[in-house]
Amino acid sequence: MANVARAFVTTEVISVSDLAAAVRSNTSGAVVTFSGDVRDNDHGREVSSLEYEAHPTAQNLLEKVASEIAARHEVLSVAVAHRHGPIPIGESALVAAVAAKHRKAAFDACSDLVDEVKAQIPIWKHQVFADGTDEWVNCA
Amino acid sequence: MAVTVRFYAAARKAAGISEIQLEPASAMQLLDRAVEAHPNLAQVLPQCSFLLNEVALHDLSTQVLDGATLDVLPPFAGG
Repeated sequence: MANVARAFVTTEVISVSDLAAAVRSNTSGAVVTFSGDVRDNDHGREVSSLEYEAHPTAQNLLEKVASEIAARHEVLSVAVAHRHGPIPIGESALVAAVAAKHRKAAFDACSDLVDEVKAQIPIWKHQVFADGTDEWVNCA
Repeated sequence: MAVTVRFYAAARKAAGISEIQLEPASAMQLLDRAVEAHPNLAQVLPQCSFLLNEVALHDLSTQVLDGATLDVLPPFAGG
């Protein structure tokens, strides 16, 4: 049974290398990381600023999703962090790291982890466009 | 006594307020009253999911009791 090294929501900068270090061990032969970064564009429009809002249950649910991924895949350790509040263009909003003995399990689990976070965690993205208009993403 | 209905993200924008207090009723009745008071919510609610005291609520005929909290969550957009 794999362990969950880290699972947290934060308003601070998330370090990909910190999460990679948290999952790495002498028994792991593969570490896969993912960084979901804030883009300066969305469906062809220039994004000038972006902010995420997290529901109070987001922390607990993130821990639950990380545990599910750790149990479901042949991996050794899992870490995941989601940032909220205003995030500058180019910085990480979501970071995941998975260590496994072999690369395929690490890639698969990391991809699954990111998919589950996007589907299950009550976090919302608000973006302001260069023309001054704004939107809550996924809620036309 | 009352129940609290909390609106998040696009639901808060549509309501123009982050939470309201209502008399206890079923979740569906509470949402109907919320739309009466804040008509723009009608555009967002069909896409929303709900939490009763921070636990997923699937049956909107459930009675929401004094002191409880009903959360209105638009589609998630993390990552």
